[in-house]
Amino acid sequence: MKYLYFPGCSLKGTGKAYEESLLAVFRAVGVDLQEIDDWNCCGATAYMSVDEVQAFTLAARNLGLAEESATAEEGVIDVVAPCAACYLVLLKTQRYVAQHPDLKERVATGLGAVGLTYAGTSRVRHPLDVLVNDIGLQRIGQRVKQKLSGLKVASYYGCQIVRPFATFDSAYNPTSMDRLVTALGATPVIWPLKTRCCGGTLTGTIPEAGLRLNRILLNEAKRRGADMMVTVCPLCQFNLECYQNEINRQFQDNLRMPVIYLTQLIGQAFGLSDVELGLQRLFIPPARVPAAQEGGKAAHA
Amino acid sequence: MTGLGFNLMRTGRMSLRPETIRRRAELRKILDTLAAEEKQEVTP
Repeated sequence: MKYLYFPGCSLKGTGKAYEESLLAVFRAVGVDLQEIDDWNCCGATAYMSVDEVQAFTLAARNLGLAEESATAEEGVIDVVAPCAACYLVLLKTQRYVAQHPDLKERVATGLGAVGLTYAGTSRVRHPLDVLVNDIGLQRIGQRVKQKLSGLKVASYYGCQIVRPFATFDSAYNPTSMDRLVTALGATPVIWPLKTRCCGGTLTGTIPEAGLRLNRILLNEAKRRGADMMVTVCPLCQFNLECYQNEINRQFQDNLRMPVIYLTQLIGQAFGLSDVELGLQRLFIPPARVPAAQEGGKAAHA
Repeated sequence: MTGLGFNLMRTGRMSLRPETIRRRAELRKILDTLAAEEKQEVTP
Protein backbone atom coordinates (compact mmCIF):
# COMPACT_ATOMS: atom_id res chain seq x y z
CA MET A 1 0.00 0.00 0.00
CA LYS A 2 1.32 3.43 -0.88
CA TYR A 3 0.19 6.63 0.75
CA LEU A 4 1.38 10.15 0.26
CA TYR A 5 2.07 11.99 3.48
CA PHE A 6 1.29 15.61 4.29
CA PRO A 7 3.00 16.32 7.65
CA GLY A 8 1.94 19.94 8.11
CA CYS A 9 3.90 22.41 10.22
CA SER A 10 3.10 21.01 13.68
CA LEU A 11 4.60 17.62 12.96
CA LYS A 12 7.90 19.30 12.18
CA GLY A 13 7.80 21.29 15.44
CA THR A 14 5.80 20.89 18.63
CA GLY A 15 4.28 17.65 17.33
CA LYS A 16 7.59 16.10 16.25
CA ALA A 17 6.91 13.03 18.39
CA TYR A 18 3.69 12.48 16.45
CA GLU A 19 5.64 12.28 13.19
CA GLU A 20 8.32 10.04 14.69
CA SER A 21 5.81 7.61 16.20
CA LEU A 22 3.49 7.69 13.18
CA LEU A 23 6.27 6.81 10.74
CA ALA A 24 7.62 4.13 13.09
CA VAL A 25 4.22 2.48 13.52
CA PHE A 26 3.36 2.58 9.82
CA ARG A 27 6.80 1.12 9.03
CA ALA A 28 6.16 -1.62 11.57
CA VAL A 29 2.97 -2.69 9.79
CA GLY A 30 4.63 -2.47 6.38
CA VAL A 31 2.94 0.67 5.11
CA ASP A 32 4.99 3.26 3.28
CA LEU A 33 4.26 6.94 3.86
CA GLN A 34 5.92 9.06 1.19
CA GLU A 35 6.22 12.73 2.10
CA ILE A 36 4.89 15.16 -0.51
CA ASP A 37 7.85 17.06 -1.92
CA ASP A 38 7.98 20.76 -1.05
CA TRP A 39 4.54 20.92 0.59
CA ASN A 40 3.37 24.21 2.04
CA CYS A 41 1.44 25.13 5.17
CA CYS A 42 -2.28 24.31 4.87
CA GLY A 43 -3.14 27.74 6.27
CA ALA A 44 -5.09 26.23 9.16
CA THR A 45 -8.27 28.02 10.15
CA ALA A 46 -6.60 31.44 10.15
CA TYR A 47 -6.00 31.80 6.43
CA MET A 48 -9.54 30.71 5.56
CA SER A 49 -10.88 33.67 7.50
CA VAL A 50 -8.56 36.10 5.70
CA ASP A 51 -9.07 35.09 2.08
CA GLU A 52 -10.94 31.92 1.19
CA VAL A 53 -9.87 31.67 -2.45
CA GLN A 54 -6.19 32.14 -1.64
CA ALA A 55 -6.48 29.70 1.26
CA PHE A 56 -8.18 27.05 -0.88
CA THR A 57 -5.62 27.53 -3.65
CA LEU A 58 -2.61 27.15 -1.39
CA ALA A 59 -4.15 24.07 0.22
CA ALA A 60 -4.95 22.71 -3.25
CA ARG A 61 -1.29 23.16 -4.23
CA ASN A 62 -0.46 20.32 -1.83
CA LEU A 63 -3.11 18.08 -3.35
CA GLY A 64 -1.91 19.03 -6.83
CA LEU A 65 1.67 18.11 -5.89
CA ALA A 66 0.39 14.79 -4.55
CA GLU A 67 -1.45 14.05 -7.77
CA GLU A 68 1.56 15.11 -9.84
CA SER A 69 3.76 12.55 -8.07
CA ALA A 70 1.36 9.67 -8.69
CA THR A 71 1.48 7.49 -11.77
CA ALA A 72 -1.58 6.93 -13.95
CA GLU A 73 -1.82 3.30 -12.81
CA GLU A 74 -2.11 4.37 -9.19
CA GLY A 75 -5.43 6.07 -9.89
CA VAL A 76 -6.90 7.68 -6.76
CA ILE A 77 -4.07 8.63 -4.47
CA ASP A 78 -4.53 8.77 -0.70
CA VAL A 79 -3.03 11.78 1.08
CA VAL A 80 -2.54 11.07 4.77
CA ALA A 81 -2.78 14.18 6.96
CA PRO A 82 -2.17 13.43 10.66
CA CYS A 83 -2.77 16.95 12.00
CA ALA A 84 -6.47 17.46 12.66
CA ALA A 85 -6.43 21.03 11.31
CA CYS A 86 -4.51 20.07 8.16
CA TYR A 87 -6.83 17.11 7.65
CA LEU A 88 -9.88 19.33 7.93
CA VAL A 89 -8.51 22.08 5.67
CA LEU A 90 -7.40 19.65 2.96
CA LEU A 91 -10.67 17.73 3.16
CA LYS A 92 -12.66 20.95 2.99
CA THR A 93 -10.61 22.02 -0.02
CA GLN A 94 -11.23 18.70 -1.75
CA ARG A 95 -14.98 18.97 -1.15
CA TYR A 96 -15.47 22.66 -1.88
CA VAL A 97 -13.48 22.55 -5.09
CA ALA A 98 -15.48 19.51 -6.22
CA GLN A 99 -18.81 21.15 -5.38
CA HIS A 100 -18.25 24.74 -6.54
CA PRO A 101 -17.29 25.20 -10.22
CA ASP A 102 -16.48 28.90 -9.73
CA LEU A 103 -14.01 28.08 -6.97
CA LYS A 104 -12.57 25.25 -9.04
CA GLU A 105 -11.93 27.69 -11.86
CA ARG A 106 -10.17 30.21 -9.64
CA VAL A 107 -8.04 27.55 -7.99
CA ALA A 108 -7.11 26.26 -11.46
CA THR A 109 -6.10 29.77 -12.52
CA GLY A 110 -3.88 30.25 -9.48
CA LEU A 111 -2.19 26.87 -9.75
CA GLY A 112 -2.00 27.16 -13.54
CA ALA A 113 0.29 30.19 -13.12
CA VAL A 114 2.99 27.80 -11.94
CA GLY A 115 2.09 24.93 -14.25
CA LEU A 116 0.29 22.88 -11.63
CA THR A 117 -3.11 21.24 -11.87
CA TYR A 118 -5.47 19.85 -9.29
CA ALA A 119 -7.92 17.37 -10.78
CA GLY A 120 -9.46 16.08 -7.58
CA THR A 121 -8.15 12.53 -7.98
CA SER A 122 -6.50 12.57 -4.57
CA ARG A 123 -8.34 11.53 -1.43
CA VAL A 124 -7.63 13.11 1.96
CA ARG A 125 -7.35 10.56 4.78
CA HIS A 126 -6.60 10.69 8.48
CA PRO A 127 -4.14 8.08 9.77
CA LEU A 128 -6.72 6.89 12.31
CA ASP A 129 -8.97 6.01 9.36
CA VAL A 130 -6.10 4.22 7.60
CA LEU A 131 -5.11 2.32 10.73
CA VAL A 132 -8.62 1.08 11.49
CA ASN A 133 -10.12 0.65 8.02
CA ASP A 134 -7.17 -0.15 5.72
CA ILE A 135 -4.61 -1.84 7.94
CA GLY A 136 -7.26 -3.21 10.25
CA LEU A 137 -7.52 -4.03 13.93
CA GLN A 138 -6.70 -7.67 13.35
CA ARG A 139 -3.36 -6.94 11.69
CA ILE A 140 -2.51 -4.38 14.35
CA GLY A 141 -3.45 -6.83 17.10
CA GLN A 142 -1.21 -9.48 15.54
CA ARG A 143 1.75 -7.09 15.68
CA VAL A 144 1.33 -6.41 19.42
CA LYS A 145 4.28 -7.69 21.45
CA GLN A 146 3.39 -6.22 24.83
CA LYS A 147 -0.30 -6.19 25.63
CA LEU A 148 -1.18 -3.03 27.52
CA SER A 149 -3.35 -4.91 30.01
CA GLY A 150 -4.61 -2.91 32.95
CA LEU A 151 -3.97 0.46 31.34
CA LYS A 152 -6.99 2.77 31.32
CA VAL A 153 -6.96 5.11 28.36
CA ALA A 154 -9.20 8.08 27.65
CA SER A 155 -9.34 8.50 23.87
CA TYR A 156 -9.61 12.14 22.96
CA TYR A 157 -10.63 12.77 19.35
CA GLY A 158 -10.91 16.54 19.53
CA CYS A 159 -13.42 18.41 17.40
CA GLN A 160 -11.89 18.51 13.94
CA ILE A 161 -11.37 14.98 12.68
CA VAL A 162 -15.04 14.03 12.89
CA ARG A 163 -16.74 17.39 12.46
CA PRO A 164 -18.11 18.77 10.25
CA PHE A 165 -17.09 15.91 7.94
CA ALA A 166 -17.67 12.54 9.60
CA THR A 167 -15.95 10.50 6.89
CA PHE A 168 -14.89 7.45 8.87
CA ASP A 169 -16.50 7.67 12.29
CA SER A 170 -19.46 9.13 14.14
CA ALA A 171 -19.47 12.90 14.52
CA TYR A 172 -20.56 12.79 18.16
CA ASN A 173 -19.63 9.37 19.46
CA PRO A 174 -16.58 8.15 17.55
CA THR A 175 -15.21 4.77 18.60
CA SER A 176 -12.35 3.99 16.20
CA MET A 177 -9.65 5.05 18.66
CA ASP A 178 -11.32 3.15 21.49
CA ARG A 179 -11.45 0.01 19.35
CA LEU A 180 -7.75 0.42 18.61
CA VAL A 181 -6.99 0.87 22.31
CA THR A 182 -8.86 -2.39 22.98
CA ALA A 183 -6.89 -4.17 20.23
CA LEU A 184 -3.70 -3.18 22.10
CA GLY A 185 -4.97 -4.83 25.27
CA ALA A 186 -5.74 -1.61 27.14
CA THR A 187 -9.12 -0.53 28.48
CA PRO A 188 -10.85 2.48 26.92
CA VAL A 189 -12.39 4.84 29.44
CA ILE A 190 -16.01 5.70 28.69
CA TRP A 191 -16.33 9.45 28.93
CA PRO A 192 -18.59 12.06 27.34
CA LEU A 193 -15.98 14.68 26.40
CA LYS A 194 -14.11 12.78 23.70
CA THR A 195 -15.02 15.27 20.98
CA ARG A 196 -15.28 18.42 23.12
CA CYS A 197 -13.00 21.19 21.80
CA CYS A 198 -9.75 21.89 23.68
CA GLY A 199 -9.93 25.53 22.64
CA GLY A 200 -7.30 25.32 19.92
CA THR A 201 -5.25 28.49 19.87
CA LEU A 202 -7.31 30.08 22.65
CA THR A 203 -4.61 29.02 25.12
CA GLY A 204 -2.44 31.63 23.42
CA THR A 205 -4.97 34.30 22.49
CA ILE A 206 -7.48 34.17 25.38
CA PRO A 207 -5.72 32.00 27.99
CA GLU A 208 -8.45 32.35 30.63
CA ALA A 209 -10.87 30.61 28.23
CA GLY A 210 -8.40 28.16 26.72
CA LEU A 211 -7.00 26.94 30.03
CA ARG A 212 -10.49 26.46 31.42
CA LEU A 213 -11.50 24.23 28.48
CA ASN A 214 -8.40 22.07 28.90
CA ARG A 215 -8.91 21.89 32.65
CA ILE A 216 -12.42 20.50 32.15
CA LEU A 217 -11.14 17.77 29.82
CA LEU A 218 -8.19 16.77 32.01
CA ASN A 219 -10.19 16.67 35.23
CA GLU A 220 -12.99 14.64 33.66
CA ALA A 221 -10.52 12.09 32.29
CA LYS A 222 -8.90 11.90 35.73
CA ARG A 223 -12.28 11.58 37.48
CA ARG A 224 -13.15 8.65 35.19
CA GLY A 225 -9.99 6.85 36.25
CA ALA A 226 -7.87 7.32 33.14
CA ASP A 227 -4.15 6.60 33.48
CA MET A 228 -3.52 8.65 30.39
CA MET A 229 -5.17 10.44 27.49
CA VAL A 230 -4.39 9.64 23.88
CA THR A 231 -4.99 11.95 20.98
CA VAL A 232 -4.42 12.25 17.23
CA CYS A 233 -4.21 16.04 17.05
CA PRO A 234 -0.94 17.89 17.68
CA LEU A 235 -2.62 21.05 18.97
CA CYS A 236 -4.85 19.10 21.36
CA GLN A 237 -1.80 17.20 22.62
CA PHE A 238 0.13 20.43 23.07
CA ASN A 239 -2.68 22.17 24.93
CA LEU A 240 -3.57 19.27 27.17
CA GLU A 241 -0.01 18.38 28.09
CA CYS A 242 2.00 21.57 28.07
CA TYR A 243 -0.40 23.82 29.98
CA GLN A 244 -0.95 21.52 32.95
CA ASN A 245 1.51 23.46 35.13
CA GLU A 246 -0.28 26.69 34.31
CA ILE A 247 -3.69 25.12 35.00
CA ASN A 248 -2.43 23.78 38.34
CA ARG A 249 -1.06 27.21 39.22
CA GLN A 250 -4.19 29.14 38.28
CA PHE A 251 -6.83 26.75 39.57
CA GLN A 252 -4.95 25.08 42.45
CA ASP A 253 -5.38 21.71 40.73
CA ASN A 254 -3.03 18.79 41.07
CA LEU A 255 -2.99 17.49 37.51
CA ARG A 256 -0.24 15.29 36.15
CA MET A 257 -2.00 13.43 33.36
CA PRO A 258 0.17 11.97 30.57
CA VAL A 259 -1.25 12.97 27.18
CA ILE A 260 0.35 11.01 24.39
CA TYR A 261 -0.25 10.38 20.71
CA LEU A 262 -2.20 7.29 19.74
CA THR A 263 0.75 6.24 17.59
CA GLN A 264 3.02 6.39 20.65
CA LEU A 265 0.66 4.05 22.48
CA ILE A 266 0.53 1.66 19.52
CA GLY A 267 4.33 1.79 19.25
CA GLN A 268 4.67 0.87 22.92
CA ALA A 269 2.47 -2.15 22.37
CA PHE A 270 4.55 -3.04 19.30
CA GLY A 271 7.66 -2.95 21.50
CA LEU A 272 9.26 -0.04 19.64
CA SER A 273 11.91 1.99 21.46
CA ASP A 274 11.26 5.23 23.33
CA VAL A 275 13.39 7.18 20.87
CA GLU A 276 11.61 5.73 17.84
CA LEU A 277 8.36 6.93 19.40
CA GLY A 278 9.65 10.33 20.54
CA LEU A 279 8.68 9.59 24.15
CA GLN A 280 11.61 11.65 25.40
CA ARG A 281 9.88 14.73 24.00
CA LEU A 282 6.94 14.50 26.38
CA PHE A 283 6.72 16.86 29.36
CA ILE A 284 4.79 14.25 31.35
CA PRO A 285 6.01 10.77 30.36
CA PRO A 286 3.56 7.92 30.79
CA ALA A 287 4.22 5.48 33.61
CA ARG A 288 5.50 2.04 32.72
CA VAL A 289 2.62 0.09 31.31
CA PRO A 290 1.47 -2.69 33.66
CA ALA A 291 2.16 -5.46 31.16
CA ALA A 292 5.71 -4.22 30.73
CA GLN A 293 6.25 -4.17 34.49
CA GLU A 294 5.09 -7.77 34.77
CA GLY A 295 7.05 -8.91 31.73
CA GLY A 296 10.16 -7.09 32.90
CA LYS A 297 10.61 -5.16 29.68
CA ALA A 298 9.95 -1.47 30.12
CA ALA A 299 7.77 0.14 27.50
CA HIS A 300 8.94 3.45 28.83
CA ALA A 301 12.16 3.72 30.81
CA MET B 1 5.27 31.03 29.91
CA THR B 2 9.08 31.34 29.69
CA GLY B 3 9.22 27.87 31.21
CA LEU B 4 7.03 26.52 28.44
CA GLY B 5 9.34 27.86 25.74
CA PHE B 6 12.39 26.48 27.53
CA ASN B 7 10.79 23.05 27.90
CA LEU B 8 9.81 22.99 24.22
CA MET B 9 13.39 23.75 23.23
CA ARG B 10 14.78 21.25 25.74
CA THR B 11 12.62 18.47 24.29
CA GLY B 12 13.40 19.42 20.69
CA ARG B 13 9.85 20.58 19.99
CA MET B 14 10.77 24.13 19.13
CA SER B 15 13.59 25.24 16.90
CA LEU B 16 15.01 28.70 16.36
CA ARG B 17 15.42 27.83 12.68
CA PRO B 18 12.05 28.04 10.95
CA GLU B 19 10.98 25.45 8.41
CA THR B 20 10.73 26.82 4.91
CA ILE B 21 9.71 25.57 1.51
CA ARG B 22 12.07 25.58 -1.45
CA ARG B 23 9.81 27.15 -4.06
CA ARG B 24 8.62 30.23 -2.21
CA ALA B 25 8.52 32.18 -5.48
CA GLU B 26 5.92 29.72 -6.68
CA LEU B 27 3.61 30.64 -3.81
CA ARG B 28 4.14 34.35 -4.53
CA LYS B 29 3.20 33.81 -8.16
CA ILE B 30 0.03 31.92 -7.23
CA LEU B 31 -1.05 34.66 -4.82
CA ASP B 32 -0.19 37.47 -7.27
CA THR B 33 -2.19 35.76 -10.01
CA LEU B 34 -5.24 35.44 -7.78
CA ALA B 35 -4.91 39.04 -6.60
CA ALA B 36 -4.62 40.33 -10.18
CA GLU B 37 -7.69 38.36 -11.21
CA GLU B 38 -9.68 39.74 -8.30
CA LYS B 39 -8.59 43.27 -9.13
CA GLN B 40 -9.74 42.81 -12.72
CA GLU B 41 -13.15 41.67 -11.50
CA VAL B 42 -13.76 44.69 -9.27
CA THR B 43 -12.44 47.24 -11.78
CA PRO B 44 -15.38 48.62 -13.83
